Amino acid sequence: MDRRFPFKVLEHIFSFLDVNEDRNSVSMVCKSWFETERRTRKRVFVGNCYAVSPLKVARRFPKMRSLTLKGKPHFADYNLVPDGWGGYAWPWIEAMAARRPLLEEIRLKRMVVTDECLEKIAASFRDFKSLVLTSCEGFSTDGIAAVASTCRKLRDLELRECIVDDLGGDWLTYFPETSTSLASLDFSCLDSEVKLSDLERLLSRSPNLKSLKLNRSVTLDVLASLLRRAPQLVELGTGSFSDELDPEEISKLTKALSELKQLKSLSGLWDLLPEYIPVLYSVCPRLTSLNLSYATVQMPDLIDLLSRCSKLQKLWVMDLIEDKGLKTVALCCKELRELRVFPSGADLDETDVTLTEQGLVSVSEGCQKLESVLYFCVQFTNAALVSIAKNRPNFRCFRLCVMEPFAPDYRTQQPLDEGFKAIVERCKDLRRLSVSGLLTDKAFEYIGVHAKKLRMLSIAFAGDSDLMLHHLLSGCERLKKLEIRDCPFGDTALLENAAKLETMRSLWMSSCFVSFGACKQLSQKMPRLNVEVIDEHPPKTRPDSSPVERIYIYRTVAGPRQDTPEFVWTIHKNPEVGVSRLSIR
Amino acid sequence: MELDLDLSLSPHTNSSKFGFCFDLNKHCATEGMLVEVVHYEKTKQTRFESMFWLDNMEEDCYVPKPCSFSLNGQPDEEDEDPLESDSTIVDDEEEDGEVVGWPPIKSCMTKYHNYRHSRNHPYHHHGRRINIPNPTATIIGLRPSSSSTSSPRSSMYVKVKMDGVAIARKVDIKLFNSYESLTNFLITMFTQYQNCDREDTSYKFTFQGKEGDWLLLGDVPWKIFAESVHRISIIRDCPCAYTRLLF
Repeated sequence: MDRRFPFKVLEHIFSFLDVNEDRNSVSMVCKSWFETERRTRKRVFVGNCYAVSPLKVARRFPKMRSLTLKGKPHFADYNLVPDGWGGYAWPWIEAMAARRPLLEEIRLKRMVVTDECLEKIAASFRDFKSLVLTSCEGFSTDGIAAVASTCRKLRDLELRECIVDDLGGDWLTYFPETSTSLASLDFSCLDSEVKLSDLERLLSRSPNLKSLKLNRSVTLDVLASLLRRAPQLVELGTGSFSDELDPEEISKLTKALSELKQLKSLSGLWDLLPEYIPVLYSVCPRLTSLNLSYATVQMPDLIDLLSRCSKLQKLWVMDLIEDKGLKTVALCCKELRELRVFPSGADLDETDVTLTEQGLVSVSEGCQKLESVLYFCVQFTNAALVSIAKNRPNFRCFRLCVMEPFAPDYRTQQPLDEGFKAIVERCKDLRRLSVSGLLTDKAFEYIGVHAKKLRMLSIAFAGDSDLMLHHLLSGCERLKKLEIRDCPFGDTALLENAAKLETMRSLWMSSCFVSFGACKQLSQKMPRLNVEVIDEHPPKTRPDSSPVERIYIYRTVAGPRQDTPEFVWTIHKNPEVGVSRLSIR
Repeated sequence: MELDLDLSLSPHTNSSKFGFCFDLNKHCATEGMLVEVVHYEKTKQTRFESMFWLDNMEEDCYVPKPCSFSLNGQPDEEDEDPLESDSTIVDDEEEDGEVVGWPPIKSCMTKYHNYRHSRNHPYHHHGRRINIPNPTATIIGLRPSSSSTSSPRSSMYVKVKMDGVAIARKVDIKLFNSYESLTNFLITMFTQYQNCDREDTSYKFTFQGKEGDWLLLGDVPWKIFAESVHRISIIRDCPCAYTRLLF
């Protein structure tokens, strides 16, 4: 007797599932659940654009309204992936345009997006609402103009840290005079000036605009006028904050900012001058997110500002904050969940910046809700790491960048093994970890044993031998992304743990000791992995023993990709090597 | 005496009056171009010319051409045989002679830092020495003593490569005052985290001076060495886990 739920009932139940991980699990129960789930999924996420073909994705999810894609590996952010490697958005845009014209949202990260892509988006999706490009490149302001002018229902247009061929500020004029739907606009990564009058008019007719992030070319003297036209803003990224204002202008700006009653997030603040800090006082008490990465003010001024931000949950700041400033944060910002401290290069200005491990210890003591940290520091100690771990077992993301490679604990001269051991032992929910400083294989043994929920791990200049990799691949059960640079391990660990790689999204290794022969072997052994050897200057001949510059390994059901450049080697480029020795285990 | 060299240097500087040599460890990035900071210390004009391919060198005036330099490419040069390299300068657009992508900072932020430290920044202090490398690429190097941030201005970083170790290191020569202190430190640094018995191994130190020749440490007096050393190479007689992977 057929005991299955009627399709409609199942469909209704599944409509409550919005986490894709749950949906993935649900779709593996049985065929009818798979079918029902796929017909109801609206938001599709593809973590590696080469893991699956665009066509398959388009076919599988007929109700797709939102597509998120990621292209290049994370280390591309730090120039470790040569230009031209890949990550092209076009095949995806083309496939969706043909099959899913009702698509409303496209979010791309680290992909190559051309003006052609943007024009295709504009032309193909009549209800298109949201375009969010993060760390993308390959397009110009012409492409942006195409989207702005054609997508009548455009709600979000966000360019986050993209590299754009900036042909001028005209693109802003392409928003039709009749469009009033804009809710989020981020052009902070563009260089050129937009015309004030165009921007003012756009703001005036966009009552739904909640998030506005200006670029540095928008000068301080016009900010007040802009803000008066958008008092409903929840997120504001200012332009430059260093131009000279007369007292009247300052007073107008202060008033305009105080009118932003809903403002929760503040960023931009390029070259913030200390004398303008009082202007921000009125918004501080409401702020939950503050990005001071470009605010070049010193510690006393930062304290002045931060001591007023009692509701702050997210703080990004430069090391100019120093230990003393972080102590203030620990005292005043009790709601803090995320902290990022970036290096300012201040030592080059001959200014004394005392940011040490103590700063992070203070914050870990004072901020009970702290769960995500990115901290750049010159050197560190095991004792500090142990304290931090004791104070904050609730870390989910812990990224420490000790900037001096191989730096041991500067007090004891020991490796930082014990410190990171404390972190992984205590922080049972740790999902993301970046390690640095002097580390031996022991550190990775600890990580393998304790970091059971770890999904992403980044390692640089660490370890002693193959054991390091072996510990990680055999220990970290939930590991999905592993990226390693400049570590002395080689082939054995990689080949022994080959099966693990199919359970992961990707593995990146650069400047390690992996030989070309091992790459070939791995490719032959694991047909469902794409093993890419990326050598910027590929040698004419490659003996099996020669070490490779970079390897990028990822699981895929799409087979070998067809768009590899010259400098990417895969086994499929040498079919005579691959086919004859394919072994199926 | 030191001269700050930047792009707007007057063409009337009399280069024959001052000798100069380049301190290859210091250079700055200005809007994507690298310009060497020149220290006037020696009269080695012809060497200067040949090293930097300045075609228009004349007796009485020069305008330095901005060109991109790197010291030696990436530190993990396990493939390069130091005795065979014929040039001290490798033209490499990516490299500043320091590590690519380290510390890991995104390009938008590096771009901003470069802008801050460049001449175009409204608060750039004119007349101050421009000696600011890309902040994403600073290796401070191990020091025999603890903490204190040493200013890179009064230091001289030299790349040291030990046979069998993938990753070359940089040390500040100015922290030492004798060959013995330097060699002891280097041996300690490299054997710290490797399985080599220090006592059993014999080390051979060679260095490459500004002229490109490889000499044994001790061939020249310390003072001259400290001023002219460009690279150091250590060959040792010790079977090590790494060596088998290199050949």
